[in-house]
Amino acid sequence: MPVDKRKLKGKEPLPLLEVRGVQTYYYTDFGVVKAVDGVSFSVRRGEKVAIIGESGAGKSQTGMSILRLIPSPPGRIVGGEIIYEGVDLLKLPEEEMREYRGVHIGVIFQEAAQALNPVYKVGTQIADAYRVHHDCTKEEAWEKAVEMLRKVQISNPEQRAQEYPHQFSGGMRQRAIIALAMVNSPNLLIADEPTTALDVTTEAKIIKLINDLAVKEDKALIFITHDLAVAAGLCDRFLIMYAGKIVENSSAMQLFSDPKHPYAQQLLEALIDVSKSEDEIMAIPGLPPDPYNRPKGCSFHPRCRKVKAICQEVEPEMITIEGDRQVACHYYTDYQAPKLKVVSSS
Amino acid sequence: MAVDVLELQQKKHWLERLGVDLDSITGRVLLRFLRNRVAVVSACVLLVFYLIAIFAPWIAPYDPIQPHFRNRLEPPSAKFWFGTDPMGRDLFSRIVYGSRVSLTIGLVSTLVSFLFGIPMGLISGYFGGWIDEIIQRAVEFTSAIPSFFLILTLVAIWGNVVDRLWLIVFVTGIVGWVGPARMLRGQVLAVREFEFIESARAIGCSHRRIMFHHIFPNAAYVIIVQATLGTAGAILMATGLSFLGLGIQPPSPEWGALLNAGRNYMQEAPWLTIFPGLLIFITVLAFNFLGDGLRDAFDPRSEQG
Amino acid sequence: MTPLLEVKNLRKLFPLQTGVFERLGKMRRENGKVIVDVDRVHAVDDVSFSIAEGETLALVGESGCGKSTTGRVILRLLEPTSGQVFFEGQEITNLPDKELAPYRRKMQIIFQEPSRSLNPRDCVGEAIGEPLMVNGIIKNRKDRRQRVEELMEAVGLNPKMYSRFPHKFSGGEKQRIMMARVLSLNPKFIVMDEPTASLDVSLQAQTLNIFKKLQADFGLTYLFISHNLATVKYFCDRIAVMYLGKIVEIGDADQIFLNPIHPYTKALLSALPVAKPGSKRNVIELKGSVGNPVNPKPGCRFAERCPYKVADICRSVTPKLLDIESGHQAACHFPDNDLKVELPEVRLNVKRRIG
Repeated sequence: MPVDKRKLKGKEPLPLLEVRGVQTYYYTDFGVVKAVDGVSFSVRRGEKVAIIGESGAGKSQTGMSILRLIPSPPGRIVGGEIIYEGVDLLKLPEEEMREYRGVHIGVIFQEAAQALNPVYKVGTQIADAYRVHHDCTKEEAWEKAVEMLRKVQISNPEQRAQEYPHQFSGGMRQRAIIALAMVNSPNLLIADEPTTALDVTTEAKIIKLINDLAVKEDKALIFITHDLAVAAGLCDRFLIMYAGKIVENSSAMQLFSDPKHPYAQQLLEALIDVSKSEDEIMAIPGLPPDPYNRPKGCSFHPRCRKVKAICQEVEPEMITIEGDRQVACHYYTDYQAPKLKVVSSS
Repeated sequence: MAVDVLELQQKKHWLERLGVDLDSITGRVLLRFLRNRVAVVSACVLLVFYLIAIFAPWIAPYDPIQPHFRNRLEPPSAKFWFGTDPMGRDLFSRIVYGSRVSLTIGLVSTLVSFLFGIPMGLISGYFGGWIDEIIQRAVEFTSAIPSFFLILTLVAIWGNVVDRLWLIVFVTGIVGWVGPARMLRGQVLAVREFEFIESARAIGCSHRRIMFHHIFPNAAYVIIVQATLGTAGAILMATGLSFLGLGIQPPSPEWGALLNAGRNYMQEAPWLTIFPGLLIFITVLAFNFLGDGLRDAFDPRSEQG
Repeated sequence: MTPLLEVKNLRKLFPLQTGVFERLGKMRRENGKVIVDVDRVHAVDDVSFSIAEGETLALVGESGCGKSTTGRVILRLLEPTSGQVFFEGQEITNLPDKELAPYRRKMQIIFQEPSRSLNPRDCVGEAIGEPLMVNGIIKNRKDRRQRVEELMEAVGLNPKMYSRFPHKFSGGEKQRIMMARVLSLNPKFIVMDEPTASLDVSLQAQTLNIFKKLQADFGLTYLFISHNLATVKYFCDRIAVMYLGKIVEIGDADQIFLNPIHPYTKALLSALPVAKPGSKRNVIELKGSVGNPVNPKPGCRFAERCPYKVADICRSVTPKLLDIESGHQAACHFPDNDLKVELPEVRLNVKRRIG
């Protein structure tokens, strides 16, 4: 079905996922937290999108909103649309949503240890996830589970499938989770800090695995992380979030060579990277805003290097520049690298 | 929602005026507790019961022991709120005085059990090793004693020598130390894993300071919850004993004994069983609700946000 | 000149927890004595290094390599199984608690999880003032408060936050609170156990800069435990790479980055994420996963996973640290291995002057 639509539309394919003005609020004892505050973006097939932000920026909440897994109460999605292949997920009844989770949209969480049930064999858990959505025998599902474990490069999968999660190492557990998320071959995979708890050598392997699985099968990936360096090797589009909003939406090349939003610039400067010498690393001053009491105007203005009077009063709107590049800053033109002359807009 | 927020503001305001720092753990726990209506009502009910017990002589309209055979088995009326018993004594007055006995048993036996349980749990969890082994064996040994039958036996042996009230209180207390000890130990083991304990050692805190300043306050909530449930359990045990006629001796009014005495008049004077039964029920229920409310209040996960 | 801290052949073995019956089964008689063979995890196995005053040494490795245990054994938060630790020339490994106390004050520790390293019931002022109080350094409440406020300013916290509670602070601020708390004792040496690993990337540079500034202001020496080589390169003078309880390579930061010798060091470097989109790098993949050093046999512990060749000697002889160049040692039987690390151009720090 979606393939037909793409052909009809010609060269501009319909995005797989379109998020429009989603607002997810938490109503707490201490006030309202606008965790996701009017976020819009789209994800095309074959695209690998990174959502970057500090803790509390709303990046995980955006992912959870797409899956409609916001704990309620206290959280609630109060506005917006999430269109997946032409269907607004926010309007679906819960039973139909369940069909979308897992089958159409897979998810990998950060805590590998908690995502697997300790009392069932790893193979059983993957097979069960398959059987929920497929009409097949237990044996077929088990076969599928073993095949998935092989796909995520777990050696000796027949035997490993018989084991329990505690018998797996951290990296293997994360692989099993990827197998679990991919068993129904979802078109969209949401990975929420999947490597944060892992060692460097394991992290590199897992990133490679996610990359292979997501690219090979023309699927889309949303990769949520606070680590620009990790995402740099994987993703081709970057959404920079700050205080519940997307402040910059750029391709990887654009972002790393010429960031537009001051937060993105300062984030890149603060990144500790081997290719930088000591004096090339500049810390971002200040702290992330208090979620109960975000600054007026542009939320980033207290930490912004180029802050002006208007930033303290008026919230900047998202402006489209250079095709599909977007930035939300009053003064983004001021930061233009001198070599870039004209900003073309479509 | 708006009313809720208003109410919350009001509660925050009260707490602040009472000098509670809303930022502190205690302040947050209090605030969370106050938001739980059932628990607050239960706490109030229990407070009223204890006040009644303390001020029984001023509250009870009649003498609870002196018989007045002219008023035998009067139904509840404006004169005798809860009716009268076969000896013409005012049931309300007897219940008021009886609350002294029942509630004392609950409170004191819990205190006794905590007096033993807290140090045992704390030491066992903090030091570990062979000390822990010994205390844990003692816990297992004590848990294997059927306390109800132990009391039955002791009452049978010494029931006429020592005051049964104190016998019950102390035996329940001494057998009951295992509950808090076990729970506290578990929590101490969890708190001990936090790096702030290691940090305390690194800066040179003594064992005593680490135990009482750093570990106990962060582990104590489990036994506060346990205390409410334990008190309810002790009250039930005491009333059960009295109901069997092995508890507090008549004519001293105790709720279980009142229930037992009313048993024979169920048909003609149902109030004799209804009122004491209802009070036991309410008290135990209130303690349980209070315990639940406290547990939720202490659990930061239940906080909204 | 004697180094500030010297660690010699440090060893920490943890007996594996076993049940009574299992232990009975392992009992045997030898020369008339009853011996129980308990399985032991060799968490830290024959580790030696020294740190000069004002220097920052990084202890790098993956989880389970024993780097945190090393830090704790040095401070005697864990008792060493064998080996010696010298602080200012004095051996502290066997000092009884009373005599250890003055050394404890000079050697402090900062932890990885700031949310777990502060007592949630103590306000910031109490947390920072606690060392002053328990050690009887400042007994007067008022003076103590004044000192605490000075310390808060030194680490870049607003003294008005004195009576705030830890949960109101972000991870980076909590690490600063910890730093102020530790600094109240005027320590000379601080073990930093992954102090920025749980912080957002955006705050890591900020926090590390504060640590650097404090190092200069207070004349501190750091042992910086980390798994992140990029952070280590930014922050440290020398690097020791650990694998399964042993140091496999040690040298100046520049030496390790420009001329890595040990295959494990090379693998770590090659896996380092680099903030350059589209860069296709050749990651040296390691087979399997980190093992568990239970009753290790002689031989190289990395042999199981070594991407270079594994010869008989690797399985039979434990490699010793050999000099590669001045101040640079590696423990590999094949120091001339031709494993290539593809790193983006590594820009070196201007040699940090130690004040």
